[in-house]
Amino acid sequence: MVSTEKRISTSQMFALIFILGMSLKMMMLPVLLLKAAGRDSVIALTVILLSELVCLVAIVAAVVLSPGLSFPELLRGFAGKWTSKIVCMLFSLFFVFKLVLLSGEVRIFFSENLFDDFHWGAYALPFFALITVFGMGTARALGRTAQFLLPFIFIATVLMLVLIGGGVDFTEVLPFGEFGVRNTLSETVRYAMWYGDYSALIVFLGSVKRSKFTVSASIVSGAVASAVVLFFTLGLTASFSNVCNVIRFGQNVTGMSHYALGNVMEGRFDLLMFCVWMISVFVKAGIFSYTSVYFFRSAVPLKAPAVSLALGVILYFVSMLTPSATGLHTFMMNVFAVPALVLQFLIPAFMLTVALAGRKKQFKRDDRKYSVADSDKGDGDETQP
Amino acid sequence: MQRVQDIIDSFQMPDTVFRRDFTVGKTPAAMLFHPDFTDPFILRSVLRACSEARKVCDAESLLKEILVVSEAETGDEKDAAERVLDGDAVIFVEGVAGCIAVNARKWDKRAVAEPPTETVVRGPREGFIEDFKTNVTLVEKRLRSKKLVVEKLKVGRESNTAVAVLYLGGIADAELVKEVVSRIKKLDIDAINDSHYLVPCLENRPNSLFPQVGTAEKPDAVAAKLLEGRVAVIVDGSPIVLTVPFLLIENFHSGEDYYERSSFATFLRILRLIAVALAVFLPGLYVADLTYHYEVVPLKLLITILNALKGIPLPPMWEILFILLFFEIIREASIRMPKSVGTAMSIVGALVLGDTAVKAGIISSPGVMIIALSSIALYAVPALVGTTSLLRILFTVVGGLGGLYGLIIAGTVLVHYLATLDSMGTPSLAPFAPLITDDLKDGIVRSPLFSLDTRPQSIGSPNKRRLRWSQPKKG
Amino acid sequence: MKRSHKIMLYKLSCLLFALVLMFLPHRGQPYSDIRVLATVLGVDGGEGNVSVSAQLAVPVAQNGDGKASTVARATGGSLPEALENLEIGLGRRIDYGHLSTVAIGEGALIDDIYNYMSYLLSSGKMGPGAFLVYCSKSQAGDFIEEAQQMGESSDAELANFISYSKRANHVATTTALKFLQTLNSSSHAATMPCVQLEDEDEKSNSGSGEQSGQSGGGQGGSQQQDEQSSSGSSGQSGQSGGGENKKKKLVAVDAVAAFGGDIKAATILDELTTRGVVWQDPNSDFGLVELRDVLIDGEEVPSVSARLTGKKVSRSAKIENGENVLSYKIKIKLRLDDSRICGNPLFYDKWKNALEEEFGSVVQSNLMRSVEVSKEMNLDFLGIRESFRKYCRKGYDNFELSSVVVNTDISVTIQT
Repeated sequence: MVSTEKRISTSQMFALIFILGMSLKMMMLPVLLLKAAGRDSVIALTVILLSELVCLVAIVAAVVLSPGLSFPELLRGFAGKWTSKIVCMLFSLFFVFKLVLLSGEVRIFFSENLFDDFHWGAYALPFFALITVFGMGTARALGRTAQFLLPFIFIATVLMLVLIGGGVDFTEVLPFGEFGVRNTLSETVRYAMWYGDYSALIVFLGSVKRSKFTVSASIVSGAVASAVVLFFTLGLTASFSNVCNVIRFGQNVTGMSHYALGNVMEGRFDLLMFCVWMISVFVKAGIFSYTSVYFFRSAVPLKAPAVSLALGVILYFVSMLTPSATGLHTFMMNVFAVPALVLQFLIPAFMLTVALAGRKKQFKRDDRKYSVADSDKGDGDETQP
Repeated sequence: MQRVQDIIDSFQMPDTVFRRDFTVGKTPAAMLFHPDFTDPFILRSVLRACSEARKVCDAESLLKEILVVSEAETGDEKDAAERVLDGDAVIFVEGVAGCIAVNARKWDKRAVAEPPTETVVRGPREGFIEDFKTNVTLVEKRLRSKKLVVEKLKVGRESNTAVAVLYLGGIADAELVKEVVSRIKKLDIDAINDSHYLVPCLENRPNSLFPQVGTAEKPDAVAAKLLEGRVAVIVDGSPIVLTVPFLLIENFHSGEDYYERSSFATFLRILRLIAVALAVFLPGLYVADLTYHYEVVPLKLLITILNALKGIPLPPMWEILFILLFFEIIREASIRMPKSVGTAMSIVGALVLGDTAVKAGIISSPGVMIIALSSIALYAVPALVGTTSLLRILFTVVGGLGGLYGLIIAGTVLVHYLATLDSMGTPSLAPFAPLITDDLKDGIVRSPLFSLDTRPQSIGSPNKRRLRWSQPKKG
Repeated sequence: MKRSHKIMLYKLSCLLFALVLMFLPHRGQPYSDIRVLATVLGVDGGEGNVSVSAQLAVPVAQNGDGKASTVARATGGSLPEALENLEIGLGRRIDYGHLSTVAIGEGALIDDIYNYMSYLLSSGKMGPGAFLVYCSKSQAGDFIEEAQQMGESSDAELANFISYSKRANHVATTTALKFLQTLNSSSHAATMPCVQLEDEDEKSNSGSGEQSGQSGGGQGGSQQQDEQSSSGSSGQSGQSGGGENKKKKLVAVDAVAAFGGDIKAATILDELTTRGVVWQDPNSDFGLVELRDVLIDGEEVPSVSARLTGKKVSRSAKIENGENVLSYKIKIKLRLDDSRICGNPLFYDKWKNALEEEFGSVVQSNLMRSVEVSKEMNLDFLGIRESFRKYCRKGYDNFELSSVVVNTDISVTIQT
């Protein structure tokens, strides 16, 4: 009756990974890469997705191998109290900036696709109210929310795939290689802040109810999300490869579906589908918010609602100070490219390391417990006639 | 007897209770009873039986030898006043400790009939009434099992209302039962007039828009819920029985689903879901599209709607809210108004809103159509009418102010809120989130009855299996 | 945090959300008016003197007498200015969400067209899927006005017309994105279908009564089905503008205008070349095709028409013996319109193969004609160079349009 299960299940993990793997990357990254690298944006994105999958494998391994303790707890045992606090603050800050970026992407999308006059000052409020609410919640609530909304997101994604698939001439993606390998890879690095979202799964370390399908489901989820992003990027590149200067930042997928639909007399059904898909972006924002609050509270023990509210208010004012989309993009590319890239690989590696260390510690503790029990038993045996 | 007099004097108005002195053999005795609650024939037969007795040693022998055919039991003198108020006739014998309470209750009650809010085309039509004993009997009649436990409580300092907590031992989780009983016992209130008074103490979030305690007006529904491992609460004076835990999806279930073929039942459930979604989201979507997102609407439809909106003084959001307000007023008035004027006033309301206001150009016909469709769709799930009425107003405002952006954010926050809601520890969004695949057999889809062989895992019953059946071989 | 504080926080958040949004969007406020919808936009002139015209769907009160559809015009020094003047002239905002067709007036230069399209696409006024048409014999404004007067419904007749043409006829249509994409490709050329208005007494020059060997490619859906010409060619609308003395006909998509290369203005391709362009367009896979005066088994058949039910076009570019070779492989499926031919016992023995060969040779000749014209004009409207860029790097590096060898492999199957 009384459910004491506070962990998330494998299917909830599947949903979270799918959302994390897809949302932010599909919004702006394809357009940015297209404008920067032309047709080779597909190659750049493939490299990005592969690197993310490698990180995902490490994260899933950490989740499966962890001894049931959270990351801050494991880190404390591994590196000490103060190191753990510093690391947690660092991670919290990282995800705060991820949130700022995501809010910027949301701003661009809605201002360019759905609203003629869009005053971000007011529309930011519901967005930051949403992240405040999510930040106050629990991992279990996050998992359930993602799980419940996944079918809607999935159906919207499939419908958009169908809409776009039929109307785009994919041969326009060719030829590759015009931008050059070196340039393509450097662009991959510059946009590091836009990917590496699987790192947010760090908050679920020790909170996943493991089953025999956990590993396979997680990898499949990541692979499917990556395939979806790649498909959309292919479509976008095929549609706009020669006219990158014309495409607006906010157009991304909607530009493709708009094109594929052709006749707008029947209404922009694709926009409705994309709005349903946008739920995944908001859930992702919630995950980032929860992660930031979680790590902050690990470093500074305060009540979740207070931290969450403070985060929402601070982010609101930070987003007000951001002058424009390009300003934000430039900031993220110039300042955060390298740190984001480092953290993208560091976090999974860190997770795996502390998980393995914690697991080893636990085995030692168990061994000691059993050996004590055995020795007690042995004493007893000696007294037996 | 002084103790009898003391009991009479404890009443604010001593004349409330009647005293009849008689003898049992040669021993003086007295009977206390409330004249409004008791049956004079039972009283007469009890008095006669007692008077004919020759000798009595104690209450037990009086009970066993004289009052054999009566529904009687011995009791403590401290409870005598309560018993009298319950409709018992309480007998005191001089020199004998304690008292004997004889059930002499007789008060008017209505006949068992089909409840107005849970009508079915097929299936049983018995419904609960206000009488406590009848209600308990209706359930006991359906579950003639030794496992059925009826735990009786008294709630309310002044009302002393009888409350029964029903569950099937070994099927309902012991922790759940304990929790329900303790919450009810903790309630310190003057009186409870209806079962809904107990709802706040059984809910974790009593201020929530969404119900976390189920209600049932039919004994077959309650029996089915008890068999799933739930706990039912019957309150004297209320025809509505409470059941916990309660899942959100149960709002879309009807007892009739189990008396129809599974495919049709599934179709009906899906229809209800669509109806509620339409009721809640359609006005908001309409307002959002016509205020901000013309491009989403097909051109021909858009022009038709815009032609209808031309000349309307209010923007779409305010117009829809205006129409909503009038619809809600009409709805409320139609429930309250006397039947004799109901029909006439309904026609006036419909003509005024549906025809005259549109012709006058105050509101548009698409707006009326949208709200009418939404209002009708609301009643596909009567249990959620209150919730969905409020939600649709909220989504209309959100759609009008924030467009599709606002609708998506509001929808996401709503789902997150529901994900945090639980009913006695069971997540409200079960079996969808958390996903419990076994329970999906009776979620949106209603699988064939014989495939519902396990109890819902979300309830946490210790006894998982409820059916064993193998399909007969063909031929 | 205490429970009561939490609840208060939630309530405050909701109130804040509602309050702030309430002050924000002007659309929710009483004074905002319904926007008009632009369904067709016409652009004339060049930089410095741009003229725009738009077919607008204007909401009409249910008991009102206002016109449901109107054409508004404005001019300006640039396209943005002209569009702004359009709104100022109307006194209300224009919603471009349903803009489905953009018409370019006669004489527009490619640089101007490119700038217009880029502006319209990047500003979001025009979607990438909007149709582009070229008014080969009039200004776009005049054309739109005449076309609007011919229609009776309030929505965009021209847009319906074009989209019908795309769906139901074997014609060339192009979208804004496709146009810009091909113009910006290495071929530096793109095509746009032509539309024009003709007086009723002018003869249609779109190929009725052709000789054998030439396919009457179904062209231009007519606005009224019962007035469709028997040849299935040259879509002609028989509906004249209400109240007009001089009757006009809408003739659409029977020719294409090619842009690019060294020529700044449009080059109108002739009928046969147009057909060649259409045959190699994989998006045009439906419509009526026809043979006239066909000699089959010694007998002259005046007309054999068939419906295109499927077309697959593939290209391959390679170097053979030091030459750039482009190979077209076109598979066409036809269904004969006249079942009497299929019902004839000789059909399967003799006629089917002959007809298939005849159709195939016509397609080939049309296609080769368009290749020749492309080479003559040095205008790569078939996208040959781009094919080499996509599929054959070496071929692209040493590319000369005039020296490209084009092979065709046409297979026609008549389904019964």
